[in-house]
Amino acid sequence: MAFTPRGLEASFFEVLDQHRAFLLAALKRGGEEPAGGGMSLASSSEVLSSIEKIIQDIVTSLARNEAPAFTIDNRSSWENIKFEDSVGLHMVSHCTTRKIKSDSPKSVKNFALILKILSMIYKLVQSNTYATKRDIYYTDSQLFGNQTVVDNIINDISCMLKVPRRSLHILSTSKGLIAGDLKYLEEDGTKVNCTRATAIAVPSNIQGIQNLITDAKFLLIVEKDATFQRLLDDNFCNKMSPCIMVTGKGVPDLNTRLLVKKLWDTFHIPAFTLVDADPHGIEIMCIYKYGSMAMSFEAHNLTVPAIRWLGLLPSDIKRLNIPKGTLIPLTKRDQMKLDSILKRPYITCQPFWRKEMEIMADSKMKAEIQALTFLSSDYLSRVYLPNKLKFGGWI
Amino acid sequence: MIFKEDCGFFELCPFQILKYLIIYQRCETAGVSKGALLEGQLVISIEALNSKHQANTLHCVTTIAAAGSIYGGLVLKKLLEDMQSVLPGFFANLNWTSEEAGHSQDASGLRPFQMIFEADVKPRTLMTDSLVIKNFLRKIITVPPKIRFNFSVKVNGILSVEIFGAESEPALNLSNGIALVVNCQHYLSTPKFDTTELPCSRIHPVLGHPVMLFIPDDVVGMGLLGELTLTPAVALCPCPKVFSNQLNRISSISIFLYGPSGLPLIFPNSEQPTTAVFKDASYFIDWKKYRLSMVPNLDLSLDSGSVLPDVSYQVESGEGDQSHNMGPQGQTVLLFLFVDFHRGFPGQKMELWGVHTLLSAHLRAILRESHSVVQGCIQAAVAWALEQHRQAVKAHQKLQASLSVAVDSIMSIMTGSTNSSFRKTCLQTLQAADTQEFGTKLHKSFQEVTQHRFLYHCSHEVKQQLLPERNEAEQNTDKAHENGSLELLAGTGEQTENKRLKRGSLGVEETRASRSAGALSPSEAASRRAEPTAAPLTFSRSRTGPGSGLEDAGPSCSHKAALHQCPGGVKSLAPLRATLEGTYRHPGTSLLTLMGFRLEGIFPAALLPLLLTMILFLGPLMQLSMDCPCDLADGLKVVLAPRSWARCLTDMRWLRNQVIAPLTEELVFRACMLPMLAPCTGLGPAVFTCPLFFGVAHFHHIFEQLRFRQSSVGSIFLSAAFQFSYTAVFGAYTAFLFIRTGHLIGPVLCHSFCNYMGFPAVCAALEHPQRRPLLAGYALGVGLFLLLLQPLTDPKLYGSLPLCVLLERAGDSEAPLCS
Repeated sequence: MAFTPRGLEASFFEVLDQHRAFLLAALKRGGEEPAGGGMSLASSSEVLSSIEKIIQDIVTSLARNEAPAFTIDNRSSWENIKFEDSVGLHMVSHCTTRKIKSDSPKSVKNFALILKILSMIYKLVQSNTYATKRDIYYTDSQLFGNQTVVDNIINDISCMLKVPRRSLHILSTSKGLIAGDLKYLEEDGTKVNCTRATAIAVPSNIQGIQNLITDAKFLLIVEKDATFQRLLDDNFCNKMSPCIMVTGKGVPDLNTRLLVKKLWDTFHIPAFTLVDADPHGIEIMCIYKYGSMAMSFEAHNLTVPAIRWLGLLPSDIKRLNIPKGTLIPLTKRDQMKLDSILKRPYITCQPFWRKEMEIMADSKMKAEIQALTFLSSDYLSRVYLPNKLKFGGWI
Repeated sequence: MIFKEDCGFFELCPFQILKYLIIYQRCETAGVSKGALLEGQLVISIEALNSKHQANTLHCVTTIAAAGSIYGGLVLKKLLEDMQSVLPGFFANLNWTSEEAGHSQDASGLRPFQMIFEADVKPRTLMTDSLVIKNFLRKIITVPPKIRFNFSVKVNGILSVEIFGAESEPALNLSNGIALVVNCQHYLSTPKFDTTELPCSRIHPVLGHPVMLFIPDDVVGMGLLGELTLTPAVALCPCPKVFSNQLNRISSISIFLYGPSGLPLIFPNSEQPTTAVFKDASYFIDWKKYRLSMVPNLDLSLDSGSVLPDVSYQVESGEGDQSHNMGPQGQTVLLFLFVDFHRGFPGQKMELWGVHTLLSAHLRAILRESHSVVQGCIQAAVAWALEQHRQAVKAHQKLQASLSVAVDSIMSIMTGSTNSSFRKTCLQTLQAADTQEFGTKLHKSFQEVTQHRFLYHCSHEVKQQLLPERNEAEQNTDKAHENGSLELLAGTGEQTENKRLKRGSLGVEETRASRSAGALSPSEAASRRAEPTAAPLTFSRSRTGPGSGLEDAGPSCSHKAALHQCPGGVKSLAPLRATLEGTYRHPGTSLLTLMGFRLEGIFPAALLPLLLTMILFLGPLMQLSMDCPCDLADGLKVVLAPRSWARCLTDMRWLRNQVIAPLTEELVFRACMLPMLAPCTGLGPAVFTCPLFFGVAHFHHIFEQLRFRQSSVGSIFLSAAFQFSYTAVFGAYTAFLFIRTGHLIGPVLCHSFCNYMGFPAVCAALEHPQRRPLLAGYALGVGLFLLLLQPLTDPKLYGSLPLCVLLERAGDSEAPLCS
């Protein structure tokens, strides 16, 4: 809504505006263009020619009587990951690689599947049509076995060709949801208005959306769908209008991350995460903010380092006197995850985060966002979030 | 040494002696370190001639001789004594001459020896015997002593020689200290497999766990002391990989029995009771588990090129599917049973000899006693071997399936490619004439390449085969070159990416603004704003105030004269002065009205030209509404919201593009310029000359762009030329509007509107998802515009036109624009 927010005096957004100005200034200081390499949308002909080159290499090595192999950057080792405050996690330029050989019984299937999907991509790009990952899986589900195989191979190909997945003409059905003060136009000309009461699925073609319009003062990224729906039911979007809410329903998929990135790049509005006060929630927040190891090769298109941690902070648990009964003790896996997050490179430049995580480690307790309902059923939307936003309770 | 032999068991004698010699050798070498193992050749030759004494009988002379140094330490006398003790009824004469001759021949001082038997036998017996000996030798060499056997038979002058030896062939050391030759040609009974063509010419024995054999009491009493063990080894022959493209069935099983020190236990020709144990095919292995039914194979010929199994079973032919399923193509399970003492040899050769004989005699009883243990152990080994076989088949099938997927994919890319040079290169690399040949060659070379790797696997020892592939996920850090190019790619990508983002971040209005003709920097806008404000001032002064240069030029000049001078040149200021004088003199055509500031007909003048322009922009307007994410109601809300207006009014760029630039430009180029130009050139030419100034006025963008080098010089000039042309056209249009309406408001609004719309994004329209209606809108807009251009700008709608009035007075009544 373009009108002044109902029930909110202008001073409400004061801190938020300051924060935004600060972010913009930081952005300017860091230079308009973040350093380092990223992937641009490659043109169809580039994709085609790089696939052709791969085929040629295979044929050549066969002609030389050598077993052909694919060389792919190793995406599962922290050694290949570099952390940069302005970008997040991204792949180092001289990373180790792994080989997928055609003559070893273990990897020959993988080799063949990569070729198979390459040929499908080739067709898709040639005919300028798009297919979802699921489509690809169903073309020969017997051969692929399961969806993860396909997903991994597509990521491998994207990494191998140095081309974002979108340029391979492969889409994925988004699981993310969006609601709030946002209007945009999808590539096929469909008008989307997220101001409606129900949430709208994140479009599957983020690069294609255009003419985004928003007056939102902030972007709230919610970890869980349950919380998201709860906030919608509480009419949070209208109460805090203008704002945008996004959820990735757990670990975000590529489209949700792309959307968050696009919203940041387009409007430079402050983005906050509302996650559970547990290691898993922190992990998800880190994925939004700094990216994940597996997709580090595309980090420049995916990470939004401006994201801040709004809640639920482990320190809030104490501050709000949430009774111990609603808390959950950390499991062994939680402990391990917490330790591994604390060891990650980005924690060094987040002293506050470290402190919060140490609080969690010390208390050995975690809390879901729903723990706040113990205080009152709409505590989250009525008290917790407005106060946090008004007084800058993010870190 | 010559044995004169007339005993009835001729056929056994050479065996016994051979066996003895081998036992002897093994015992000797057991003490010697492996490197010093004696090697050499044992010559066994049978010479047979038709007997002079008996008809149909051959007189055979069998010679067993050692060449080289096999029996270096052999003391002949002792040997003879030993031999006589184990072979009763066996006597010999020593021929010392031969021994001495041998002694003189060998320089190394080692004594070769020679034994000669003589006997009269029937031809048939001779033939059988020689076959039996051959088989024995074959069986010996599969668990090789380091001896080569030279076996020759000469019957009536016809010589046939065979050499048995496997000392140089690859052998697999089984854990019980016995080596087994793994070359499968020893076990293949028929020459149907050309071993050179087999992808793998070995067998891969699986060694089972040794089990203790229980020795029955009665046997113990006979002197079998110590712990007897049985070690099974199972292999499939030929190597499963030969057939692995189809799941092959097992057609037969061959059992080989070996006693202590790897000597064959049972002699196939002798009807010993031991074999009775093996009459029952499922005595050791439960074949039902594998859905096989085995029957003893009685069709064993001695005259085959391979080791004759002690016991053999074959799959019972079922419903006549033998022809393609089993038959000769089936696989044979080789089952080697090593019966041995737990702790090596029991001391003396003599004991070993006796043990061998005893074992042969009592094996049946022993095996029966330990039936369940033996069965379990053999079952396990067989199961493992078959499992391995199954895995190999599966792996191979997987490989084949993967390869065909890979080949199909490459082919699909190849044939689907529109890049002819790519196709050509591919064909050339594999030297294929057409795609079909390319496909077959591709498949073949894939097969070869992977098969090679597969074979490499195969030649490994059994246990390594089961190890997981380790170098599959090989790390490769030496990728500097590739990464260099990646960086380059990424760098350029970054730039374009950021351009895209920048464009996006400016939002809709900005993009349109930058496309519009009059995109100025704020400072320029300011200077422009200054210009027109200055111009009216001078005009007003010239009209009223004395001392103005214009006023002084020549007040006596009449309008008519002045106008007539006009074609002569605009250089003279006279016409202008005259015009201004004229306006001064006729209050109906005051300067302000001449410049388009008047009230008469202001509403149609404000609305109709704008409407006309909107009609022209019908297409772009449709496009805009399609591209706007808000629907009409939302859009109206946004447009009417005071907040959005406030935002617009505080936005300098919006003010510049939508208010100041249109106002000032129209004031200068239409309001001020046209009234001066028209009297000189006439209305028509004025419409077309005036916008030239307007166009030229936009050239300053060139300097700006050149200074900042935003793009190449060529493209800067090209875009300047383009901008000039469309601003000129637009200028002509507004000039036309100005003259036809006599109002400035119309052109200003049109200008503002066009600035907002920008130059129609025709390219985007051509690629728009709703292309058809959009292009129709474009066409309709242009068509309607041309139709309505005259009627909507009819001067009658806007009252009397000051400029026309002026020109009429000046006598120029020809102006067609005024009606």
